[in-house]
Amino acid sequence: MSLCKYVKEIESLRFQIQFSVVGGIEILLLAMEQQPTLVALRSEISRSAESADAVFERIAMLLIKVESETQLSYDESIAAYLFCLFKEKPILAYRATWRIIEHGGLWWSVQLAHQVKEYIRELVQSIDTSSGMKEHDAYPTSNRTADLAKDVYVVSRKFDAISISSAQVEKQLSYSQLSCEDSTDSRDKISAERKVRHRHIRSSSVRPVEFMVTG
Amino acid sequence: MSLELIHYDAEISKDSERRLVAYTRSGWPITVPRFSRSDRIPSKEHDGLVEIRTAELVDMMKGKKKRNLRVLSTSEDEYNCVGMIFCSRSARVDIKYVDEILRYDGYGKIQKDEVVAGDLVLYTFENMFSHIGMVSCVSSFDLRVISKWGKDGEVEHEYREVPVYLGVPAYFYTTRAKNVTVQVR
Repeated sequence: MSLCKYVKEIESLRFQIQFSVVGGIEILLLAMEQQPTLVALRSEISRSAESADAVFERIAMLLIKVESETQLSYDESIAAYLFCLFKEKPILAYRATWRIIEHGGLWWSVQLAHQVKEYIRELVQSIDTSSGMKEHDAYPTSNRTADLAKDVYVVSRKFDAISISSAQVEKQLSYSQLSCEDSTDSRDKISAERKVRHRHIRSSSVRPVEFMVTG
Repeated sequence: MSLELIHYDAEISKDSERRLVAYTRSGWPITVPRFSRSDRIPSKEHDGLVEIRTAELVDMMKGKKKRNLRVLSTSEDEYNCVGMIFCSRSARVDIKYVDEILRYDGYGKIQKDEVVAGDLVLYTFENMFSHIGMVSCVSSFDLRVISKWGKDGEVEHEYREVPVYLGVPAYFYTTRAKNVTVQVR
């Protein structure tokens, strides 16, 4: 089945009502784990980076569509896309969570987005608390988690290079807060390079307009 | 009713999101997520969404299951199965809290043949609590339950006939049990 067919099915009313009846987020995740279309979509995402990007873009499109749509809420569809991304491409899922949480007004999608955010936050903290942010020390032992940790690490490093709008500054600031603000111990262990980056982002967020002009 | 809605939106939390605080009879607090209610007021165009979804859901149920269903309400109010029974149809409370609510409110487990109208049926999906309903009618050949199907309508149905992800009926609970005491924190 092609990606288009998955999208068509996931955004149909029949698909959405399968999940709109459930009573808790854990049941929703369990149900999504077993749903055949989502299993197939996950394997498609893991095979192709283009498919993962397309699903990410689809979330953004649905968030816009929700505003004008009168027949469907798309809450379960967005949650399903986020679930698949989280299982296969967690960094992409993490990026999607910001849009979903900012949008608000959804039930399962927002709950799932908070869970994804929390998971990544814990992961980043675990990287921070390992020895001095050295890459080979920071990675946990299991392969999958190691790959994920590497991705998170790379993303955090890449933040420096991104061209920054005021909205992105806010997101990066929140990311920095997630990764280091809570723990004094972990803060002590952050490298000098990272501290410079944090200061840079904080000062930018105070004067976003000025930053946009100069940056 | 064993869960009291103490207040809603009484204080603005530091992240400017509204809170819903609910307690069991014995004072056990239930953590209702900050985002348990939509931030946006639903527009008129969205009215009827629950009705459409519930009609489709009923349509999906085949044969006898479909005939036994009776849709009682397609209200747009935001509550779920737990909220319907314990929270006066005014909140969405995650099903994972149902174990605590039953324990701290003095509910006791009973057998199916002891069930009368007003008792509760707890459903499980993959050994996890997945749904709860209230018994509305008991006869020698039938046991009917009223329950809210997630975000969709409130339905009266035969106790085993629910959508697949709501699970299967596993336990029956009552407050009529003889040796049950309310566990106070």
